Amino acid sequence: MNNKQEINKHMSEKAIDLELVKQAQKGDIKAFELLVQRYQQKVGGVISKLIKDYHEIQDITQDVFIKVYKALPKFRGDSAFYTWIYRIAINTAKNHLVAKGRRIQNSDIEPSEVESYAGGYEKQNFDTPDAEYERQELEKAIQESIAGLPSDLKQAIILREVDGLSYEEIADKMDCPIGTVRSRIFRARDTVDNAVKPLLQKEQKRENYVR
Amino acid sequence: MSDKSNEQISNLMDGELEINASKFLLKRMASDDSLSKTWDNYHMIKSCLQKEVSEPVIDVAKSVTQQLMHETDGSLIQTNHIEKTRIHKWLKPVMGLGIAASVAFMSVVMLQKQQIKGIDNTGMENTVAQLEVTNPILKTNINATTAASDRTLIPPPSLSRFPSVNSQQNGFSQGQYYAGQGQTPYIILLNKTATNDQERQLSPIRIQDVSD
Repeated sequence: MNNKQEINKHMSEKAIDLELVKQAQKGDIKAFELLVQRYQQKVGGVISKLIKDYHEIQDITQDVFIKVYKALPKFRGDSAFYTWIYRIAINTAKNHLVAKGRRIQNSDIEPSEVESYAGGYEKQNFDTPDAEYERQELEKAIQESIAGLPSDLKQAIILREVDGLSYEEIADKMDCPIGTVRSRIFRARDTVDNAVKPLLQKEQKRENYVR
Repeated sequence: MSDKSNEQISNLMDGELEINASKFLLKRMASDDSLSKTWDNYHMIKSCLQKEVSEPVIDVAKSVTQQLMHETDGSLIQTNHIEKTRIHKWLKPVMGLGIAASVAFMSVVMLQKQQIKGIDNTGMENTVAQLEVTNPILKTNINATTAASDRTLIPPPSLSRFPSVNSQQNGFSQGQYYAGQGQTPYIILLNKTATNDQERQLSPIRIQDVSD
């Protein structure tokens, strides 16, 4: 009962999206930037199922969010925001392939299927070996940093991110208060963040140089 | 303080922060780059753990924001241009109307002036041979009178600030001045002997006796 009341007081992830969308619809570009930061990895991941070149993925991801911003007045919140973005992302990626004269092997791909779609393209990476190495380093650093976490932090973050459990469920599983779960998940994220920050800065500098 | 904010960001992204605190934090993040960077990094870590990305997308958000800000500026300029065009469209007929009205007014005034000038030249010049103003206020030396009657026309007092200056020297005659004012430019003066009431009543203008 108490837990239920507590949940009702919280802003759900969908409500966060709607709040940011509302602000962005009023022309708040910074609010929209928070939405982009929230979904850019997912959108990049979806596009990478169809397109393999890293720089093309970056460019199309950018195009997708520009289109999303321009289409924001049409978004009424009937569907989840990420479902709506995914649809735009897939259409943009498909149009890009058509424009480039490449065949779309799976043209009836749906947003719900994208995440499990393995695609039929050979990896085409035109990056320099250094750039590719740095991105692999970044991913590796995240995995290593998770692996090096104290067991209670590691368990909490894996239960949350990999198994998708709620804080309440994690608290039950780890037999600790929800406050402790919150704190453990935060500390896990913060530790990983500190570990990858130098790599991220390096990567950002390189990306800015390329652009 | 920073740790507290970062912990709130961590809670917010999982939907574990109270509504009011969430709204407040969202506003803070929109105006604080370090907080929004933390929000960005935590989401990247989440996506990497969930295997959503093979390679993390870097800094797309910044590029999107820059492009949108650039486009917004452009649309603002475009909007201003449209507004100006609208004003021009509205102003054009009004300006045309204004010019037409000014031209019409000027031509009416000119016509009136010419008519009055015509009267001066024909009527008055025949009667007045020479007028010389020595004193603007009734101290007038009259050298000529009408042959037909004993009426004498003298110019009205000079409005010049320098009464000693001849009206001709002022650049325009007093007759022209009064014509512009819509008044008859001359005063009829009567000799004491020739004065009668009938003449005074018939005269549409001020009649003044000139007596020594």
